[in-house]
Amino acid sequence: MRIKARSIRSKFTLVFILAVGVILIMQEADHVRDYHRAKAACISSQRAVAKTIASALAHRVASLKEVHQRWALKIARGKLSTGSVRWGFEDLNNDTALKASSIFMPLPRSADSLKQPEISRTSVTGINDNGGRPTITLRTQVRTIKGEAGYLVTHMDANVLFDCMPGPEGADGWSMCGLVSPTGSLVVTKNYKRHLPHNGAADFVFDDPKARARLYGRLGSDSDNIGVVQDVEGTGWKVVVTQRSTVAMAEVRRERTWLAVSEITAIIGLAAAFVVGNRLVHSIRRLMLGAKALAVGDYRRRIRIETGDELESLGSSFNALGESLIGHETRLKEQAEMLAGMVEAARVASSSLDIKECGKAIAKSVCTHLGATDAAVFRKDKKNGGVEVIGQHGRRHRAAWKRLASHSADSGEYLLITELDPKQAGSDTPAEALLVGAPLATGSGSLGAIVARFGDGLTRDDLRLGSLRADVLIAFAVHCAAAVRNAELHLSTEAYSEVLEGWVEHVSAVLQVTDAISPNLDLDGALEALARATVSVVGADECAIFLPDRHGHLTVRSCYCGEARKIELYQLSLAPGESATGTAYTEKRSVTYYDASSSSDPLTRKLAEESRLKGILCTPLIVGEQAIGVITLYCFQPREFLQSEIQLMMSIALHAAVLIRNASLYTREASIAETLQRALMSEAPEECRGLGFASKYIPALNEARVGGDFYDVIPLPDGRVAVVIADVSGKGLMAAIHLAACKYMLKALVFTHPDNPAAVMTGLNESMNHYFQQSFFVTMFYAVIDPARGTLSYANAGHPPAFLITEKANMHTRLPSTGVPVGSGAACVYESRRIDVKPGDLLLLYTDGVTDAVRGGERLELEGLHRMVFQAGNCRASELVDSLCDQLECETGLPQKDDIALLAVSFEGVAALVGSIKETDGVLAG
Amino acid sequence: MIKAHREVQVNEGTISLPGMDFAEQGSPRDTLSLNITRDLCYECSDDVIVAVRTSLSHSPREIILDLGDVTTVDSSGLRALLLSRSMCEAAGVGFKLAQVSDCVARIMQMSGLEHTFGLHIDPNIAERKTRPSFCRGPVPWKTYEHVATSNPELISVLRERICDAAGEVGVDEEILCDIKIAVGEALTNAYRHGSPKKGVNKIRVRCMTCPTALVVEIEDEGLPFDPNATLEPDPKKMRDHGMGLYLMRQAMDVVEFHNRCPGNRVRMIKWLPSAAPRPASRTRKTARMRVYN
Repeated sequence: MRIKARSIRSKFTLVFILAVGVILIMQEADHVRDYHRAKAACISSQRAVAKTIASALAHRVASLKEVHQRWALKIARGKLSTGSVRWGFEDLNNDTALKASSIFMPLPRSADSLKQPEISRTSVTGINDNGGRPTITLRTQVRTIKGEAGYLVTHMDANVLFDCMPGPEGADGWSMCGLVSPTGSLVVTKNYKRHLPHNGAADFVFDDPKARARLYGRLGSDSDNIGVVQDVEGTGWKVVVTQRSTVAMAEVRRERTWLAVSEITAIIGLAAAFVVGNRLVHSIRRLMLGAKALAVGDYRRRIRIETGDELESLGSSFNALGESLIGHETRLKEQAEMLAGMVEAARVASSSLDIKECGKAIAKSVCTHLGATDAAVFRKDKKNGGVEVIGQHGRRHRAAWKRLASHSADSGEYLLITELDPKQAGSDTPAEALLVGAPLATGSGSLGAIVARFGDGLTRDDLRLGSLRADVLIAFAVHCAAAVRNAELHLSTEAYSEVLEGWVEHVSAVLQVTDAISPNLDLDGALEALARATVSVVGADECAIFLPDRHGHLTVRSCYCGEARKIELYQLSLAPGESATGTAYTEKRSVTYYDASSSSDPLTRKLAEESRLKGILCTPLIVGEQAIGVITLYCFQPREFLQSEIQLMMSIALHAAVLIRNASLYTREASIAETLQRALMSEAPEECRGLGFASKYIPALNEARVGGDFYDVIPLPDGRVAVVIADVSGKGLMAAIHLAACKYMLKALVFTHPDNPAAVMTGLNESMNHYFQQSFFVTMFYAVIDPARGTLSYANAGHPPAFLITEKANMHTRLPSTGVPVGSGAACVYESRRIDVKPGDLLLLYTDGVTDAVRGGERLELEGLHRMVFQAGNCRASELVDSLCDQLECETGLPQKDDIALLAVSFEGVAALVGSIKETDGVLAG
Repeated sequence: MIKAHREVQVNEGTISLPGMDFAEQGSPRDTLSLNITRDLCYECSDDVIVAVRTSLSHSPREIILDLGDVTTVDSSGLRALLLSRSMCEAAGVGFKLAQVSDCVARIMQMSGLEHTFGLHIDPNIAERKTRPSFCRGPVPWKTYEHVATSNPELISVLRERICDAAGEVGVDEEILCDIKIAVGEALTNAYRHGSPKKGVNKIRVRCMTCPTALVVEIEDEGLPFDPNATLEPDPKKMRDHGMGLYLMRQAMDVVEFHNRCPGNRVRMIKWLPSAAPRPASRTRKTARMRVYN
């Protein structure tokens, strides 16, 4: 079994209990062994006593018996009378006289068993109730020679017998001696202690069988009594010797007392050891708890051990350990605080972008956190060499500091020198101060140095290279170097960005002006926008733009000013070189006046005084080498125009000049194109030879003013009618010119081949390819309608398919392309197709502006047009065109991106004319 | 003497029975000849049935349908003829077709009805085969495009337009007949099945011709269907549906169906015999048919 005892105390307790237990067990074993030894000794001595008594008794009884028998013999032989006799004899050994009495008791004859004069065997019996006295009785039958028979009975007091017995040798009074008769009754006859009186009274008579059994039961086994039994020879009696065990064990008990004393001593010793051990354990526990507290950082825990021994000294050294730990902790905290302060200081220094503030912050934090009395930060002066101070704290620095800083910055080393403070130099003990220089080191050399003075309380050791304060200072200097560099960079960046901002302003002003002008394609709009934008950008009061008129005089074309002033300005006409504006125009340079009213030029002065103008800035508009006008700015107050403003105006004027020239060119072209197209675009006739016509031209958004769509209805000499719709590629003036060429070339060809559209297309294609060298192309649908025969012949040169609407507007037949677009460069043999037409049918011609119209992000395409035509239903030509226009406007929103041309032809009169075919032919033939 | 031959004209949807009075003249068991002056197509097939039924009320001995002016018959027409025949049989009246043109005979032959109507087909018509022809170089396609509302009257107009276009290429009469059958069926289908809103939905027809082929595309606005689901029809049990597709496949060389574009579009190609005969032959039974969904 393993006993779990973790603590020393419990182990002590366990050992103590075990030791006590062992002692008790050993004592018990001793006790038993002693008891048995004592008992055995007692029994052997008693046995000796009992043997002695028994032999003495046997001897006495034998003697008595001998006397009795002698007496009996005497009686039998008649030598004695038969009466009672009293007799005695002396015991020679003990000098005691034994007294006995014999009585002859005659028996009737009949009862006589003896035939011969003889005596029978003597029987010895104990008589107990003989007057309460123990008696030994001897009986012998006797026949006398006379014939008489009777018993001779001899009685003798038993006590008398015992009195003559020798007492046990060395026996204590507590021993007891007794006889046990053959019948089992006990006669205690002698008590050695009590010295029973010899009156024959016995102490105990055990007639009671229970008592006897008790006695026997005690013998040899009872713990209280020890006894032995010895047979008395020749009598059948037994001698009993008993002794109380207490008496017998008295010696043993005495020995046990001594033993117990030694045991108690041992236990006391053990207990003392236990107590001492416990105290030791207690001390160790305290030490242990203290160590635990130390381990978790409780350095303030003290332990009290007052044992006065080694443990006490151990406790005190433990307390000393705690004290020293507290000291260390305090120092560490101090250092950590110092470091944290420097880190915070470095952060503060870095956060400032101004170099002076940065330097000041650095110097201050050196004083605050490192305990310096004064500090200064120096920066290398790149221009002049040496160092310059950028921040200090405390007393002003002196030349020695500067030298130290310069040295430290150049060498990049940490320097420590002792300085005599001159202020206190006059006193008895000139105060020594320690001066420290730490370089502001960066990757590319040092930027400068921090110099700090440490006064009271600090020794050289505190500041030596490798000490904490020095390390912190050096590390701090490295951080500060970064901050200083940042500040330096910021300074230079600011300088650059100022320059850049100026440029950005300039460029954005120019952009603002050009943005204002560029959406205007016509000249007047552009000039008005320019004047307004210039005034707002430069900040003048009025602006006038002079352009040369037909005579070369500068006149105001547009201005930004009050209404009254406008009239005045518009009347102005300046010859080149006249006044400030004229000068700027001829000399192609800016002309400025701070105050025009005091100008040397008389005309300028006059004009300025009239209009109360002071500051003037004239900027020529120059394209290439040529001045095309002047922008003149007026101010009501005298104003000195800055160089940057003059440059700005020059930039604006440069851009504006180009835009103005473009706008004037565009205006001219657009007006020509418009005129041309108006001349070319003829309305279709409403009715021609039984055919109904309806047309619509919807120009596109103003992104391009003139498109290249046209349609025409050409009555032919033989009664037929040619219908054409075409879309010339391109926009503007050139498209109009191409359109004109195409239109008249077509007209010429129509009359050459009146009955063959394919021939017309082929011819047109050839001519266009020849004359215009593929500079443009035309998609064209050309049809010749013969109202008399009810036929329609067409050729389609790459144009979207025309629709022939038949069967009460229930069916659309597309008239698809039968050749390439005209003028596209490819030689093409066009194909004519002929189709029959009936009255009620409609022919719809259109340009791709319709199918390209956008509805909900998707182009209409042909399907959309089909749908719209179906929507229009069965109607006349004009109704169809109107309906389509309405639907287009409703669905796509007009005006659209591309021009739209629609031409519808109804064949109402076809049938009517069928009959008159011959007449017409005849007329034409004629 | 009363003329035994009477004519019933089925003309432009109106039925005129010029001999209406002959019943009163007491010769009811004469032969009655109905002269059909229009093509027997979807739009007038019902008129024929009505005319035959009306004629039966006069209890003639025999009814003869004179198809002399009929250039083509479509599946509805065939159905009308079959119905007329069964009506006559039920009434115990004789029924005959007269002056059957080659084109109509071909349709009868294709649909296996020639014996039903007791026609004897010229074996040349039955054995004729078309050959696919291929053009070399740029193909001078001519395109004809029509968009029409779904009116029954316009079906024949559109069909005639396509036949005109085919005629411009210069095909022979038999091929023209095939084309007419197929286009008529396709148009009828477009009207009957492809136009849920009659008179509002549109039918688009695109016909492209070149010297060696004719392509017809007919597009409707109906719901998509599976052309393979229609089985080969049993000529004994003429039905309304299925006969058209069958005839189209028989008559044309390539029949393709495109569903959801956005309506249904059927494209049919007929190879036209060119000057240079090609060795490969393609019978009608193996005509290609593709389905695009």
